[in-house]
Amino acid sequence: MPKPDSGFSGHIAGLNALELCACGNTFLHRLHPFVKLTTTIFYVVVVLSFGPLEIGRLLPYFFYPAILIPLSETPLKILLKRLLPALPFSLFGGLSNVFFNRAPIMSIGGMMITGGEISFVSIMIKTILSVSAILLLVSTTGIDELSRQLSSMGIPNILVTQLVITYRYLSVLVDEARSMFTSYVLRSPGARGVRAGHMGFFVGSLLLRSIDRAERVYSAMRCRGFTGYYRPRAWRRITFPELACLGVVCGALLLSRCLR
Amino acid sequence: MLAVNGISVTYPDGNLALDSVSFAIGDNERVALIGANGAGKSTLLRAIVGLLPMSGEISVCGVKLSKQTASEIRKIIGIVFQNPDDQLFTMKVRDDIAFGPRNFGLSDEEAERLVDSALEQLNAVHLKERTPYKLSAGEKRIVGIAAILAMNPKVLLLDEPSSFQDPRSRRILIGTLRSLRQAQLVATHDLDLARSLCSRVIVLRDGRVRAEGPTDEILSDDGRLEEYGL
Ligand SMILES: Nc1ncnc2c1ncn2[C@@H]1O[C@H](COP(=O)(O)OP(=O)(O)O)[C@@H](O)[C@H]1O
Ligand SMILES: [Mg+2]
Repeated sequence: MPKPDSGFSGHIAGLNALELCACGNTFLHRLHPFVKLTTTIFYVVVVLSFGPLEIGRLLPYFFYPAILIPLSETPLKILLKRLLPALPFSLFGGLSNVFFNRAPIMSIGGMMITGGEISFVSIMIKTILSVSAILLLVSTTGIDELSRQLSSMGIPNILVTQLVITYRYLSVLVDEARSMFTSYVLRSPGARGVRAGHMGFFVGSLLLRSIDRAERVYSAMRCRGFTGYYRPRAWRRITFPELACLGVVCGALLLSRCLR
Repeated sequence: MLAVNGISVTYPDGNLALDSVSFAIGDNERVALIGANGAGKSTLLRAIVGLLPMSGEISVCGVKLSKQTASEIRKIIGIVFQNPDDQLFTMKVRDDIAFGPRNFGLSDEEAERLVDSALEQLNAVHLKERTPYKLSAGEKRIVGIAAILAMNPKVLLLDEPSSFQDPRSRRILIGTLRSLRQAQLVATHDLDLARSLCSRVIVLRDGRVRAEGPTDEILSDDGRLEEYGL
C-alpha cells in the first residue's frame, strides 16, 4: 500500500513547476498546439529511427533542445528535474546491452570499445533527446491544451484521458518503482540492482501497480462527475506562417535523416 | 434513503467478492460496515456508485442505479476513497475541491462558494491555498472529504477513513464526521472508530452480510467478532 507521505512531493512539485511554465508568453507558447505536437512527434520518430551504433549522427539533434530551451524560456533546472526520473529505465535497458554485446567495434587510444557500450550510449542519448522534446512540448503547451489537441485530432478520448492521468502520475510511478526497488534490494543479500532474471517480473509488477493506480485515480475522477470528455475548445485556426514553419521544420528533420 | 438489494459482484478473475448483499440506510443515519481485510467492503462501496458491473438493485432517494442514472447517483452519493492521493490531483486545494462542482456545470463563482462552505464546515479554511501533495495525512483526509462535501451529497461513503491517521488527526476526523448531517456508510476494520461514530453496524465476511444490528450489541460479543475475523 502506498504511503501518503513517502517523499514524492518533490517530484510532483517538479512536475507542477513544468506545468506552470506553460503559462509563459513566448513565441513558442503562442504557436498553435497542432504545430508543436506534430513537430515533436516528427522529431522523436526521427531520433528513435537511428541504429544503435549511429551515435555520431545523433549528436546534431541536440540542436533542437539547445534552441528551444532559451526560446521557450524554460528553466534548465526544472527540465532536468523532470528528465532525470526517465533515465533509470533506459539505464536498465542499456546496461544489459553492455553485458550481452561484447563484440569489439573500434579502439580509442588502445582501449577496446564494444558494440554494447556504444549502443548503451546511444540509448541514453535517444532517451535524453526524445524525453526533453516531449517535456518542452508540455512546458510550452500544457497538458490540458495538449489533450484537447489530441482529442480534436481524432485520438479516442479514453486514450487521451489515460495519457493525462499517466502524465499526472508519472511521479507516482517513479515512487512505486523506488519503493519496490528498495524492498527488493533489502531482501536480496549482495544484490546492488535487480538481477537480470528478475527484471521481467519487476517491470511487470511495476506496470500492474501503476495501471491499478491510474484506474483508482480515474474512478475517483468519475465519481466527481468527470465524464472523460475533454471538450475540444475551439482553437483559432492555424495561420499560414505557422503551417509554413511546420513544413520547414519537418522538412529539415526529414532531410537530416536521409542525408548521409 | 439508500437501499441495497441482493447485489453480487464477480471480478473478472472469477472471484465472487460480494454475494447477495442487502441492507438499507435511513436519513441522517451513520452505519459502520465492518469486516476483515478482503471481506469486500471496498468492493461494496464501489458497486454502490456504479463503478463495478454487478447484479442486484441499488436505489438512492428513489433513483435506481443504472448506466443512465450513474452520474445522477454520483451527485447524491459522495465517496471518499481510502487513499487521498488517488483523489487529490490538482496543484491547489481550492481547485481540487472545485473539480466536482465544475464538472457538474456550475460557474466559477458558484464553485468557489461551495469550496468555501465545504472548508468552513470542516474548519479547514486555512488549507485553501495549499498544495494537496504537501499536506499531512490528516489534512489530506480532511481535504478529500471537503472535495466530496462540495458536491452537496445526501449520502457519504467513506473507505477506511482512519487509515494513515495518527491518534490526534483521528480524533479530529471523528469529530468532523459526527458534525456532518449526511447519512454515512463507513467501511472500516477500526472497531473503535465504529463505536465512536456509528449507531449501527453491518458485518461483512467473505462477501456476505453475517450480522447487522446496534453497535453496542454486535461489538460487545468477542466470541462472535473472532468468528468474523475481527
Ligand atoms: N480488482 C480486483 N480484481 C480481482 N479481485 C479483487 C479486486 N479487488 C478486490 N478483489 C478481491 O475481492 C475481495 C474483496 O476485496 P475488497 O473489497 O478490497 O475487501 P476489503 O475492502 O474489505 O478489504 C478480496 O478477496 C480481493 O482479493
Ligand atoms: Mg478495502
